[in-house]
Amino acid sequence: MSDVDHLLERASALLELGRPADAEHAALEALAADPTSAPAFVVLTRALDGQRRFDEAVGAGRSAVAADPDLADAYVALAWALVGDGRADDAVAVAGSAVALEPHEPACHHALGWALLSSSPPRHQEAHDAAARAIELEPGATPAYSVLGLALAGLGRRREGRKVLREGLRINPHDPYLHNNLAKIDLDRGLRIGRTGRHLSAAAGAIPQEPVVHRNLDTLLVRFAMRLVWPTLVALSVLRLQVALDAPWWSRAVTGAVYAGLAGLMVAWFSRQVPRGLRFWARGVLARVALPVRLIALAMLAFAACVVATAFAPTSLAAVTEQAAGVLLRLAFVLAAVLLVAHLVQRRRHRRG
Amino acid sequence: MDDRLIESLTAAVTSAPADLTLRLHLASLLVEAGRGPEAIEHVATALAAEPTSVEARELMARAMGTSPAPAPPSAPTPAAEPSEPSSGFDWHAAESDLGERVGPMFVDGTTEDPGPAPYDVEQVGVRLADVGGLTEVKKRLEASFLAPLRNPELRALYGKSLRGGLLLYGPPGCGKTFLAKAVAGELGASFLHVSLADVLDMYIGQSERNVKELFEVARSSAPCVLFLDELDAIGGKRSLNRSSGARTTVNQLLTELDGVGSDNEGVFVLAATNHPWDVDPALRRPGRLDRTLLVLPPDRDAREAVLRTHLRGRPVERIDTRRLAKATDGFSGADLAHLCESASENALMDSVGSGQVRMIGMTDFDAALAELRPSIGPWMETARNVALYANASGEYDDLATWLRKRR
Ligand SMILES: Nc1ncnc2c1ncn2[C@@H]1O[C@H](COP(=O)(O)OP(=O)(O)OP(=O)(O)O)[C@@H](O)[C@H]1O
Ligand SMILES: [Mg+2]
Repeated sequence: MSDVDHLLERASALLELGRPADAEHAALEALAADPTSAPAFVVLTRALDGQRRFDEAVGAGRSAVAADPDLADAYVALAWALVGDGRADDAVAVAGSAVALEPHEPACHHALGWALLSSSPPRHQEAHDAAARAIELEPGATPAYSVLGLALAGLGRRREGRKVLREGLRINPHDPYLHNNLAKIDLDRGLRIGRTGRHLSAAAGAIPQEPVVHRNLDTLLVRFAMRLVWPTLVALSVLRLQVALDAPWWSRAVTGAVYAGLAGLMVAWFSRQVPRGLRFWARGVLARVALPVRLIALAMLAFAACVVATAFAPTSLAAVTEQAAGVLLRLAFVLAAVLLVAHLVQRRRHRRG
Repeated sequence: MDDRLIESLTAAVTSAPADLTLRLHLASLLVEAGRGPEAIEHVATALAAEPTSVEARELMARAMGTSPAPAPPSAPTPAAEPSEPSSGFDWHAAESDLGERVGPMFVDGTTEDPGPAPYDVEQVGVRLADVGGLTEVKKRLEASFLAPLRNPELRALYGKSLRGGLLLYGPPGCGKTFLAKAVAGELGASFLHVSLADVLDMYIGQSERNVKELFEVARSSAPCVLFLDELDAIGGKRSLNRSSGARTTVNQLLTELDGVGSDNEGVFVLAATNHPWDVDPALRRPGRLDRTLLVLPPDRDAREAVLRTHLRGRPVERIDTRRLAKATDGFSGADLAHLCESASENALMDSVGSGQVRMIGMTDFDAALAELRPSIGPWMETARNVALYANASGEYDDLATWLRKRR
């Protein structure tokens, strides 16, 4: 076995281990030994891709294609790099070339499917077909199940999408991307916090370096925090009644204690559904989420703080905080409504455009 | 008088073997009477029944201090023979005691060896005293590795629990390999150092046989420390469903670690990796490489010690190691070594330029420092994500605690 093959084998193994920086090193060594090796450029492309250095990855991918225009792998690697670089439309064309070269290679169809799914607007139906073809060629290729599942969900067939992803998990129960994408389908609808948390835990445990999973966990956390609004609302209405009826301070304190206990139970439950150490990974979540979400969350936090204050403050102060809570709640609702409308308008424009 | 007391106590212990207090009392008398080997026997029995007993551990340290550990018949070189009774382990004493005697046995693995062996038995000149800082790690190595190796009786008693090995992990360049070499230096045991990347690289398709042979050599030269470096190279969790050579190699390694069909008595496995999370989980199950030891970058005192170690024998002048240690937060041992190299280089260049030989001074260090960055940043990033998101079973708690403290 030659030196270059040797280095490439090592680089590929490192890639599979999720250590793209080391893989890049090995690939560069291979290129130093043979600067015309297309496979070396392919590995380099994937290594750069894995480090999210998409711009450089695209360059390396183009070199791979130039070094061997008949190598489908080169087109596949380039297509993935292009998708990462936000040029999914170019990626569709490149992946198309790969499919033309090797029509029986599932990896080509898979890349095409992903490129179609990532283009804007997403070409769900075509992505669906490409992924289905990849699975037909290699029924055990679980990554293609992810594409198929997401394409189905994008076509509005969420149930089927979920089913496909679950089927993939039956083949490979550890595929972290399937877990993540199952969670993603749920997250988009804001449903089933516990189930989503369990899938994201599985994904994070296997690919702790993947920022997409971190983001999804942050989103889930915000979703869960919004659930806490319901008990807070109930507590607020009870407290209002108590303030209006001039009930003794201890009755408000009892309401507050019950509320705090309930919220505590909910948090305890949630922390068991998500990766261990919630208080550590959740730290700084407000700084990470988008500005509108941050605003709503802050308003909600202030709202909850006012409710707690109403429960435990002296009567004169309680009347004030109770009012403040009402105002904050309304503020949050207005904010949310504005954002929802903005979001819908944008989506419609997207569809037309 | 003492002897009579010991006699009657011995009789008492024989009739009530489960009475640990009695046994320890007898052992302490034996230690005082200078009868270390007999004491060790009793303390070891007590420790086997109650491994956490502080009293027993202290006694063991004292007993080992007084007793010349009989060398196992097959030992290539005599084991350590500390001559002074001391509590705890005195590294410097051990160093002088061992003196010249440390010379690892050379094993010839000629039996149907295909080409060059992927492993070799090393000449070790490093001692634990040369490893700067890492006090806690050294302590744990002493307790779980060195002490039992030096004491065959202990080894016999703990034989079962010593099954499997110790996995050193931590950021690059912080002394894992260095530590392992020092362990071998301390023991004067034969030391097989093998980088698993080499096992795989050299003989794809044949790595399985190599692993087998490696263990055969290790067994035939027992007592022997087998050091498996870069353990993650052999296949991480993600190559589990890959039909690569790595899979069969892992399987072979598992078989060997379990000692199936052979006895690993006297073979001590030490492994190292920067990425324990990439190591095949099967390799880390109980009885295999189940105990882990986190080897962290040196703290300030340790950095000072490392710097001093590296400056020893160099023409230096008025080096404020304390200030340097303060300025090198986050540097690994290798970074510090690199810093010393750069500073020397600066001085050398200067001498060449001016034609006047001068000593290495603080200015050289300051210049070198301005250009150097700690190299463990990327590792820290990876480790932080693992500790935050993939610590479901708590196996990286110590790592997580350390990372949090560093914030
Ligand atoms: N604690 C230390 N005391 C003295 N020197 C050290 C220490 N740590 C590291 N060094 C120096 O750094 C060099 C590299 O250390 P070593 O090879 O043991 O690191 P490692 O943890 O095995 O790194 P890698 O993970 O890259 O294999 C050593 O040869 C030694 O010169
Ligand atoms: Mg090393």
